[in-house]
Amino acid sequence: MKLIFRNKIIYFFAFTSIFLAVVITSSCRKEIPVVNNAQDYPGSSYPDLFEAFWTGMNTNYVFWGVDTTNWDRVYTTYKPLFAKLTTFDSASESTAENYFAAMTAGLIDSHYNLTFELTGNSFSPATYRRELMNPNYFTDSTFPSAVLDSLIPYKYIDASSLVMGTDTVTMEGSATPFTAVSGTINNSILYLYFSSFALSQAGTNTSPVFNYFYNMVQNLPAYIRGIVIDLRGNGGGEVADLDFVVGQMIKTPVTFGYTRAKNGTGRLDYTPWAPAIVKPWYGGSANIKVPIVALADHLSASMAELTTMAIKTLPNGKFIGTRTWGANGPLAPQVYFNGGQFTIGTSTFGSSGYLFTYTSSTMFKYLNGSVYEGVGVPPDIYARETTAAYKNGEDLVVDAAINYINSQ
Amino acid sequence: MAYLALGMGLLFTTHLRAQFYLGIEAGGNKNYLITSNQAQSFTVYDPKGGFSLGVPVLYQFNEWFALQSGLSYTQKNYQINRTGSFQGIYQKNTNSYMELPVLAHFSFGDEQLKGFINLGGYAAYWMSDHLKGVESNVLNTVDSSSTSNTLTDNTGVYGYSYSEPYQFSTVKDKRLELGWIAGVGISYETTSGHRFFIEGRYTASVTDQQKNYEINQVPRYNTTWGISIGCFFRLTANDNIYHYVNY
Repeated sequence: MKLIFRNKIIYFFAFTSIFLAVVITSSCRKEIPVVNNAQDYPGSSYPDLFEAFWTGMNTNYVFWGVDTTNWDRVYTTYKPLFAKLTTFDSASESTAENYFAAMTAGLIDSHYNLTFELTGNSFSPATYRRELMNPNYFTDSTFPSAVLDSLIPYKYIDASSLVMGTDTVTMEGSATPFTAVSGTINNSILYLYFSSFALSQAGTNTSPVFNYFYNMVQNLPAYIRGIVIDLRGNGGGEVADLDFVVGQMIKTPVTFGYTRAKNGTGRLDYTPWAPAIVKPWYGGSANIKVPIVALADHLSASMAELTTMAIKTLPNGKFIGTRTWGANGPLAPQVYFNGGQFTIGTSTFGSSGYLFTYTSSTMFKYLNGSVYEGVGVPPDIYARETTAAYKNGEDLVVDAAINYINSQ
Repeated sequence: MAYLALGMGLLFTTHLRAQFYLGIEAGGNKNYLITSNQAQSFTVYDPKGGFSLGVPVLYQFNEWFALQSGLSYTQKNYQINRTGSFQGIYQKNTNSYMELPVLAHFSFGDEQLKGFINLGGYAAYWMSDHLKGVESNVLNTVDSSSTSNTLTDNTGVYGYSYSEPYQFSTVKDKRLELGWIAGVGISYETTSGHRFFIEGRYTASVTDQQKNYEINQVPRYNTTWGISIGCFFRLTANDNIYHYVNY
């Protein structure tokens, strides 16, 4: 009888223990907060807009693994400041825009841009920093307008070979002039310039330029000792142009770097690195053995930099010029990679929202393991055009390319 | 306190000659990653199956109470799936843990066929995470669709298939996991001292998989349902095992 009684107590003790354990287990876990998409915050007050923006950046910004900005410190510093902005008026708006700019001023993403939809103001940290370091960063460049208008087509390119034209294309929703130039230099170097990566939109004036250049590439005459692709001042554009531009000069795929995106809500949640590949163009390509030189400068950005790195990876490739702008991370709408660009305040301010954040969707790492975001791609051979050289009728960068090709 | 006193009293009023068992066990499980990913569009975290192998030890104090421990290799897997037009993009995380439980083992029934309940805690070390999946490769475009040259959908780029070990981050990843275990099962002990068992087990971590490295961090917890079979081998003689104290 005593044993039976004891067993009952044992069962009671055991099952009660399980019940307590389950209760304790569930209560030991931290509460799991619901982190909304940045777009889903109401945005009806400055503090709420701050939370939406901070969270959107925390989740979507792809460079946290290499960016040294202390985003937690940004939170603790600016949360109380935004809390003091209690009404929407011009003074508060000005203050808020200054806060948002100050929060992001050190970010390395050189595509990064804030657009304040209420006022039309914008802020680019990369531009801000460069102008802070060198007020003449943009104005002391004689390329592309001056050099292209006078020097290259008329003093360098053989007149009988010159093909050039300008069309209007749509870039980021805006009508943009699209210029392309090709021809031979000293009847031994094949040259191509284009102002942006919008080759699929090439029209009646620029299509002949690309047709000339790539007909020459795919049937390269023996007298051509080298190829120059001039990407100076090129701000980038469409990713798919990479295979069209470089892929027509190779016969086997070339891995020139890696990209990765976010794959979680945490700041350091990343996908594995995926290889960045330039493939032989599906419409035809040639196995080019002569030197291929990419010219790029401090205004070459995005696809111009990726193309430069693809060329410099080729066994016969070389990059001549100056360190590039440093915006290497490709972009796509937020939904594709659960990261990158986002809009806040759409519930309160309509479809354009309060603030649009333009930022990369993926991080790019060059083949050598370096992330050049924010610092630019260093040239293999340094060369920079100067005003004095321009006035002498010389393009020092093209001269460097000619000297390099002639030395091979 | 009264509850604890009752338990201790029950334990020590049944004087005994303890027995020691060493065993082997193997089983399958399904792991759920408990977190929130509302900010990720067209993305779900799905549970995945795994397996466990262990070498349990059992120290039997009396006919109804024992302490169980041992070392086991346990997988706690899950999979991230994109949905909708992104279907096909996924990442399976195969997580390997070395787990050390300390369990109170309560058994009841007759001498050979017994039911039992395990209850206790565990510490586990996250040894490795193998990633297998497919992601969109933004710099590997499908040239035949490049007439538009824009990423209008995920068919504009090739997927990248990968299978590689995860590189742990010293900033982010917390590799020591603590938690609770509750199990229920039945066992059958032969006269030769082999105790076969089958057990269903619920394992819940109470520690985040991540270090506290960011404000407003979303925690991640493993919750695992498993079933295992095994056998204990008695290492001590079977004489005068239990001496019940009448009171």
